[in-house]
This record gives sequence, structure tokens and C-alpha cells, in this order.
Amino acid sequence: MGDTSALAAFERVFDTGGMSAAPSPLTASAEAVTEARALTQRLSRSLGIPTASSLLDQARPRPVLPALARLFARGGLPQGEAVQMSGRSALSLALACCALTTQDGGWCAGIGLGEPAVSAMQDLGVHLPRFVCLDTPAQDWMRVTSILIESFDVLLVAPGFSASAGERARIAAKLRDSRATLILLGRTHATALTSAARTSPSAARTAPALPAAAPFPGSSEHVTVLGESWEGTDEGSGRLRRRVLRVHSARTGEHTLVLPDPQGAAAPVAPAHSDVPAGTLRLVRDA
Amino acid sequence: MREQLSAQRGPQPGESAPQRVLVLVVPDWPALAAALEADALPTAPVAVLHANRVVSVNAPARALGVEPAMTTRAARGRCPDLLLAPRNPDAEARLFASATQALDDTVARFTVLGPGAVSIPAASLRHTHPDEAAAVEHLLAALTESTGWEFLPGIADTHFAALLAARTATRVAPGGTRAFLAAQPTRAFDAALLLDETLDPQALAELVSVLQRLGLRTLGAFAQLSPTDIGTRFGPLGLRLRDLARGVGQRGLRDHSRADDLVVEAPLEPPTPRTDVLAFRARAAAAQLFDEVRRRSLACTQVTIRLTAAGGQVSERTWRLEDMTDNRVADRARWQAEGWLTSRTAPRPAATSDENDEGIALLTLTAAELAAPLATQPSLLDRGSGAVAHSLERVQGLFGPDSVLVPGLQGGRDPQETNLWTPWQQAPRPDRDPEAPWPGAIPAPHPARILSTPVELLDAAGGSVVARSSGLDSRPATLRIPGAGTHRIVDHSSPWPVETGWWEPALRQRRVRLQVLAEDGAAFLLCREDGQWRLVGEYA
Repeated sequence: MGDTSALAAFERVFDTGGMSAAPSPLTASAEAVTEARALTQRLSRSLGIPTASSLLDQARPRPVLPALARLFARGGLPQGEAVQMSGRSALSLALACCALTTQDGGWCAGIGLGEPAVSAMQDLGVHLPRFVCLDTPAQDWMRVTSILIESFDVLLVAPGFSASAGERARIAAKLRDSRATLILLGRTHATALTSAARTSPSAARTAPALPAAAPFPGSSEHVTVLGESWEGTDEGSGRLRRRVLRVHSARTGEHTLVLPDPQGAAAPVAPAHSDVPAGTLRLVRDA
Repeated sequence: MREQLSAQRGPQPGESAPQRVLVLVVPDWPALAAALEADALPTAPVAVLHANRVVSVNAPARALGVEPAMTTRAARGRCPDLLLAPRNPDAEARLFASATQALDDTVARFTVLGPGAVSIPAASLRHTHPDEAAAVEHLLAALTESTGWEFLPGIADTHFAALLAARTATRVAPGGTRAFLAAQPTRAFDAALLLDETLDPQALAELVSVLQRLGLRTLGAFAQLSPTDIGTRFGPLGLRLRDLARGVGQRGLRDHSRADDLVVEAPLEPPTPRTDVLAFRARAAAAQLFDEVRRRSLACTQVTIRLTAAGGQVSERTWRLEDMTDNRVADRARWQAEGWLTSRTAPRPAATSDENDEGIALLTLTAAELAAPLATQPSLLDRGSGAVAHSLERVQGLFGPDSVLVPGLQGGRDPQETNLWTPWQQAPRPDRDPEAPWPGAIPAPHPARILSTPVELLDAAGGSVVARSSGLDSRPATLRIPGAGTHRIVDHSSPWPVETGWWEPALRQRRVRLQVLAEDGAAFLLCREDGQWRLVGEYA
């Protein structure tokens, strides 16, 4: 009879009324009720999931271009979470990741990106009327982000400074609530160069290629560009044609992809080039 | 009288009542507008150019043998003292406004199809004129008297047919539209561009060329094909053109909204540099403007704010409005004044400026775009755009209007030239035509980030690399970026020289672009101008 009592307990999970009609509640079923209640409370209060369908929605990622889908554990940008991207080519990669969201009518904003080239954004597939770029002081990135998080779908942020643990937790809570995706671009060589160009040379010298910022609470995806190789210059007689990126994701392992291809878009590497599937052990050196 | 009878009989079952349309066209309007703009004599030959081809000529030039689609050189060869003008859509629209003003006084309803063409529903003339001929005569007399231009009338059952009829000043009898259209050549489809701005001119031109090569030389031949055949081969564009060729599928056009009197002027006495005072005045003026707009049962979607300083300087910006709220206009007036006053006073020393010269003396609000209230309702399916606008306006309120920028593209050769950033809720204003050809533009893939830093590009011996139109003098080996380190260059592209605008000092460009590839995989776009290398882009 253990089965039926457990079933009865589940039926009463959402029953807030008196339990007078319950037939001889066993101690075990009462325990199950409190456990299930604690779980629903935890889901709704601390994770912001009030209903079962929203639990499923949250698991559904934002679609990304097919060439980029393999980078993410669930095949797309996770909703309500932060994604960290670092490495030199992180800007192109991040812009390519929000292309499908803007094409589907979602809104994207870039904060602290410097001046991206609009022609490159269009080639990557970003629907320009759904993208805005914010030219706000670098030290105010936190304030701007928390304003825009409520209405935008994807935010691309190059943080002007690293946030304290409390501020990160607050942003993470807002993210969960609004189910936006925050793409944090790591401070690398490239952004140091921009700040040098925009402010003063001394600013760049004091911040030489900072290590990746402390992990964001609630962020599971961390994409790092390991290396890049350009093709097409041909010793001074050609021009840049395409770039092969070697990308490492904390969840899915190492991948190679072409970004940009000769048309400026993102493309998968031709099958002949594709390496071993992610997560496979590889012999590095003979003993 | 015949159409009155048919109107009384009512529509036949299975077909809609014919809507007679009168279209008035100014022949060769682009050329005429260019002549007016250049103050040329009426007998002077004028041609308008776009992308090195003649697009419009006036009658004296045509008499000398200049024709559309000629190259500039051929046109000059036919007529050495031809006045050549670049295409200027702004001037064409602006000059045509005097015709719309004259029509405002004469007819009840009309639509401006484009600069140089208006359509008037014949039903609106029926009450004031005995028949179509008298109505046309009266209208032409009124228009020619007030503008001095020649208008050609055309009457038919659809807008498309009336537009074609106007080219030859024809009145197509009621019911005869289909036969009239059937005799038209296939290239007459280009008139459809005036009626429907969603049509792609390029796709239309290609389709017309295909039809001509298929031997379909008239609209009638095209209309006889079965819709299945057209749909499977030419898609929705083909079906739309088939409807036009058969004289059906009339689409509603938006009526011209009268713009007179929708201007509110608010003088500030004494002139003040204080933006809070200005915002207060702007709120009252905006309320007055919106009252006027609402009384006409219209909605205002764009407002132009014009600030006039006591010294006579003017700042004018057009702002898009999500809804008609006076507070929003007050905010925008304040932002515009703050940005303008700070930039205006910066270059001029305070000592020389007169006491009276300071501050804004006059605020003018103009309803720049009016629409029917239904057209401005936000769509249910357009998710979240209200919340987005609200949060972006909050950021604009905190950091100024220029802190939120919407990306756009314009013409140009370098990535920083093609970037067009427009503050949120402002109408974009490109400096260069994106449709024009830009030979020498940097091809895709484009750099992801725009920079502008003077750098040094050195060869192996440590000397600066010199670039000429013919190529580089030496092989680059080192890129030194001030404040951000040194890169060893392993490879570079062939240089792109640009030499243009030598005929006008303001447009003159003489530069060489070069892509370099550093040892660690980084790629940069460099540009050499006036003997100095600059880092203009990073392939981030």
C-alpha cells in the first residue's frame, strides 16, 4: 500500500486547505508532502519558476546558428544565465551567437563594445533594427545592464570593471527573473587595445591582459577562443579570406569553426577538417 | 454620364465596382526639379545622373538626342553644354510640395504617389464637377497657374493603369482598362514601383528582362498565363504583377494628410540658456500641438524640434514618438538643447559672446509625420518593443540621447565610413548613398571592431613602410601600436589604393589600405593617408 499513499501525498501537494478528509494519513506520506512543498517553494522562490511549464521553457535554449550550436551544452544560448566568452575573437563569436535571436524579433544590446563595424554585424546575420549599441561610461556598465536586463533578450557586455560578489549575485538574480541571456566578454588583449585607443595609454599599461574574471554565479557555459588562423593573404598578393577558430567550451570540449568565412558569416569546418568528437581522449605524446 | 449610370446600377455580382482614378504626372520630374534647383532657363538641356547613367532628361535635352540609360560620356557627346545634375530625391520631394499645396485647396482627397505624381479618386470629384473632362480641365488649370509646370492627366479603373495612361495623357473608358493594359509593353511594369514601396526595384528589373527574353512583350501576353505557371516560376512578385496586368488587385493607398497649421511656436522671453525653463515651455507647446493633431483625428509619429538661439543659430532634429505624450517632447527638447548648447559654446570663447547671444529665443514644434491613429497602434505580435523603448529612454535620460545608438549602413569604402549610428528614436540621416556603387570598398569579411589609432608600420630594417598606388616599397615586419604593444607581422594582403574626389578638395581621398596578420594570429586593417599609418579596424 506504499504506492497509493505516496500517490495521495502527491495529490495533496498543492492542497492548501485542511486535511480533515484525508484518510488515516501515515507518517511517511506526511513527510512526502512536506518534502514536495519544500521543493516547489525552492523552485518558485529562489529560482523564480512558478509553474511546471516555465520549468520546461527555461530548459529550452535560444537558437543559435547551426555552426555554433555544438558549442553549447543544450545546443543554444541558455535563458536566464550568463555566458562567458574570452579570447581575441570573442566579439565576432558573441555577435554571431545573437544573430538568430534578432532575426526572430528578439532585442539585443551591446554595452561597452567600443565601436563594432556594422557591415561585419550584418554579414554575421544580425538584424540591425533589433540591435542597439550603448555608448555609456565604462564604470556605469552595471547600472546600464540592470536597466536593460528587464526588457532585452540578449545583452553583450564587455565589463568596464570586475564586479563584487554581491553585485554579481544581484545581476544573476535579475537574469533568472527576466530570463535574458548575458554574454560577458572577457577582458583580453583586444579590449585593452580599445581602451588604449579611447582613453589614455596609461590605462592599458595598468591592466595588461587580465585573467578571466571570476565565474559568474549561475553561469555554466564558458567559451574560450584558444587560437585562430587566417587564410588567404598569400605573402602580400591576396587578402584575408577566412579564419578558422579553435574554441574550447567548458561543457562541450574543443571545437573548430570558420568565423568569418569569405562572406563574413559563421560556418562549420568542412567535414575533412573536422576533428574527433568532443570529449574523446586523444593521444598527445608517445611514452 | 455613363459612369454615373453604372455607379447607380451598383456593382455586378462577382466583380467589385470600378474605382475610377485620376493620376496627374509631371513629365520628367527629376530633370525639371534639377533645373529648378539649379535655376536654369526653361530652354536649357538638363539630364539627371545616377551611377554614371542618365535617369531623366527634359524636353530640350531629348530634342538634342539625349536619352535615359545613356552613359555620361555619350550624353556629353550628343550635347556639350548639357547641364548634368546628380539625383537628389530630397530636392525632388521638397519642390513638389508646392503642387501638393495647390491640390490641398482644390480637391478633397488625394495621394502623393511619389515626387512628380499624384492620384485623385474620381469619386471625390463627382460632386463638384459635371464630368471627368471638366474636372481634369479645372484641376490642370489650377495646378499650372500655381506651379507653372506641365501636368499630364490619365484616367483609368486602377492606379496602375491610370499611371500608364498619364504617360500619354489618355482617358481610358470605364471597363476598357484591361484592353488598355494588354497593349502596354512589358517594361511598363516599372510604374508599379511608385504604387508599392515594398517591391524590390532590382528584382522587378530582372523579372521584366526575363519576360522580354521569353518573348512576352506585352502585359496582355503575361496576363494570359495561368497563375499556377507564374506562381511556380516567378513567386509572389510574379503573381502581384499578373494582378496589375489584369487590372485587378487594387491596393488601398494612404491619403495625403494635410500638414498646414500643425506648427506651434513658443517664444522664450527673455532668451534663456536654462534647459528646465525650455522643457517647461516645450511641454505646454507639445500639448497644444497634440490637441491640434487629435482634433483632426490623426496621430503624430514624428515631431521636429527646432531651437533658434538669440544670435540666429538654429538646431533642428526630428524625433520619432511612440505615443503622443507632451512629457516626451519636453524631454527631447531638453536633450537637444543640452547637447547643442554645450557643443555650441565650446569652440567659441565666452569673452567674445554677447550677453544677448546666449540662450534660446524660440522653440518651434512641427508635426513631421502624421498617420491615421490605427496605423500607429503597436502590434500584439511585436513582443516587448514597448518595454524596450521604455528602458532605452531611461538610459537616454541618464546618459544623454547619444548614449543609445541604433546601427545602420550607408555608402562608403572603409568600415568606419559605412557605419551609421543614429540615436534611438531619431530618423537616420545617411551622408552617402548606400545604393550607389563604391568601387574600391573593402570586401567581406569585414573587421569586427572599428578603431582609429595612429600606428607605426616598420620594415625589417626599421624604416617606415611607404605605400604607393602601385604597391608597398618594402615588406612590413613590425606593427607598433602606441600604448598597446608591438606585433611581429608575418603576412600581409595586397594593398588597396583609393584615389577619388580629386576634382573637389572637400571630397578628396587618397589613401592605401592594407590588411596585416600578426604572429599570434591577430589581423588588423591599416590605412595610410598623408604619410601616416593608422589602425582603422581589428578583426576581433
